[in-house]
Amino acid sequence: MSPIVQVEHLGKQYNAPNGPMAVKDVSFEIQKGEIFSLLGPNGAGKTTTISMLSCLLQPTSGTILIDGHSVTKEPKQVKQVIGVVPQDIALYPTMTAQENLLFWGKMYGLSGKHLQDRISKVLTIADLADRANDKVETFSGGMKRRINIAVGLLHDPKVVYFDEPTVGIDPQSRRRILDSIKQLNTHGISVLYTTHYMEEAQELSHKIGIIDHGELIAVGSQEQLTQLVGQHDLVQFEIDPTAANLDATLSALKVINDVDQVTSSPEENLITVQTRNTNAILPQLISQMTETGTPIKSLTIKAPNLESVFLHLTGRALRD
Amino acid sequence: MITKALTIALAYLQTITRNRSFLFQMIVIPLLLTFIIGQAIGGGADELPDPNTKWRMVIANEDTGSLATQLVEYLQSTPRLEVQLVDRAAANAAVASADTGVIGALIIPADFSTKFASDQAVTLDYASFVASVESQYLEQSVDTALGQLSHSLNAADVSADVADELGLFATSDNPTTAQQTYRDDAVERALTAWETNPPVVVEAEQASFQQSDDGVPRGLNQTSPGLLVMFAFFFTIGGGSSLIQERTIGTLQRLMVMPMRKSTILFGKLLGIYIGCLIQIGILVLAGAFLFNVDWGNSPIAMLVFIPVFALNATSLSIMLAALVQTDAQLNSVSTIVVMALAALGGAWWPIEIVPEWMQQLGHALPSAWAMDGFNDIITRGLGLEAVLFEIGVLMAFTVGFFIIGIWRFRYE
Repeated sequence: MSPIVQVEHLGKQYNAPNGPMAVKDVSFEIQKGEIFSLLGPNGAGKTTTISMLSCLLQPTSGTILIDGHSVTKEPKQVKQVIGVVPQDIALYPTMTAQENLLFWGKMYGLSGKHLQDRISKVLTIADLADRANDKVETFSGGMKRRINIAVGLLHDPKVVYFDEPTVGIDPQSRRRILDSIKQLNTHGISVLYTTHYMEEAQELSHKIGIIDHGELIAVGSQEQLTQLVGQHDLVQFEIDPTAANLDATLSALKVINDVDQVTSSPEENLITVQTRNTNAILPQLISQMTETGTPIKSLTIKAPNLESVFLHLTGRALRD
Repeated sequence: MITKALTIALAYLQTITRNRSFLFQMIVIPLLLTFIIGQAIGGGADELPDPNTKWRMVIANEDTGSLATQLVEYLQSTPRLEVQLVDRAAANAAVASADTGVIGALIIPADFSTKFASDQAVTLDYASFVASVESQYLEQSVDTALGQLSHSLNAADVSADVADELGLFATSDNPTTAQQTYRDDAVERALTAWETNPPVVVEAEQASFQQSDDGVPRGLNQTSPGLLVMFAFFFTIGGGSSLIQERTIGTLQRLMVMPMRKSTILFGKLLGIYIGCLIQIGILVLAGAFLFNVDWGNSPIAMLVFIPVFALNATSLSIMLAALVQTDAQLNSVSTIVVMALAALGGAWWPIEIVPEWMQQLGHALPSAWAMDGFNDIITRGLGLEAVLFEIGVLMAFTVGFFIIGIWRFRYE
């Protein structure tokens, strides 16, 4: 396979020379027919990266080739090859789904029967053919997301960028979106998918890049990435939100032998412990929590996964 | 480029035609204001009466003398009067009701000629149904006719006295009869002279039916173009606001990842605003003319050139303001202040001619004043295209400046 996307030493500094570096020396490749996920928390640099790959932002450094075309030197050719599904619902709400698709299709340079055929095709993919003549403003959040995706597919692109397309939608719509992306991929379309949901990256991706603070800290398949953390399990405690002495609990857990990392997520009432010896220390973990006044509501033990990797590489949970 | 720009423009027009609130504000409200103001001030401004209109009066002439006949003939020859001879009862009945269409009635008593000729007091009865401009005109016409008769009699008396002093009648067999004959002949000559050789002739010409005495627009002449200018600015700035909204919801960024230039996107958006503004002005002008009898001047060509120039200026202002603010909310706040200032200082609310000189100069630092000057030249002063070329030039200069700032400063992301 040859790469459809080649990114080398990509950097972006806003308000150069003194502004913050949003993306630092990022390099990766996406092979034709591959789904590549950029996984990272909010503010990690995912959208900035995708904006540079979409010709929306000029890189401060590095090169980007899409299907062999440079985004800085041949943006017109690049735009013909890529489909972009932005994070925002970039549609005209007072127009119908059909009118939106007609408008955006014309913007891609499509016309006539070919455009009508493509509209029918993407409406089928979005599973919204029966709502084609309804105004977008009457759609649910999930339906809007699906039309948003359909617009990005109108011109039959070789690679499609999805920028967090499942944010803020219901589980059923999320499932439809993930399934439609997998279906697209079976037709040979390459995908760049950004998300901060580990489960989505795990389910979709052939390859995953973990990005944090603008840096790509690991790239590989899920198996390759989890090998980075060895046999470390994640033990997650759901705690009572009224826990009086959370800091004392965290301190007590950190000093237990074979505990590698301890993080907390007060918003989700979660304490996460990373350990390679779950069975041996589990009683100790429970007793320390009880003694320090943090009641446990539930307990989950997870085998090594991308969250473990992120925790291992950054010392922070993906949700932080 | 043109096809995509047109598609973008049409999409904008499609979205605003579905925005009922926006349409209400931009079309219905100015028309409502035109209607209300029209009702308040009684329609068109400074309307002069139609010179072809005839006012009906009736005369009951009970005198068989020559002076009474002369008086009637004079009134019959008055251009604006349609005189009908009736008896006294019919004359009184004619002005008893407005339904007859008779403006006034004159009754000439049987002893009018005798008394008038001998310089005795004589009473003419003049009556009208209501006091009005028309009845005043009739009254003045009667006064003028009596004045002419009186002056003719005086002239004849003076002439007869001089002839008597010169002894012209002394050799006559009957000097008294000769003098009376001479006097009657002199009266006839004097009356004829009023018609054939009047001492003073005033030629009145109606230069323009819209022109007020001082060239200052009044009534709907002022408010109609004023409302048009103000609401056109509101419309285009609303278009600028939609540009910022598109940046906020992400459609502008999505357009930028399509295979076309940024200039095509902006051109398409501005074209939509411009066409929309032209449509808005077209509706206001046509609806004003046909629904409220607003007159838009004597030169359609001047209007057809001036309106597109003004609409382009308003469009350029929209992109400049959209470029200078950060958010839609900011633009909404700024737009109200800007449009109010443009309208007030530019003469859209009241004639700029009535404000102090320094305020007129301040107003002419804004495009709205030049727009109003142009509309006033065309509408109020009844002038043509050549008269507004300077205003067109100034507006275009503003337009170029606004576009340069707007395109230079506009942020797509």
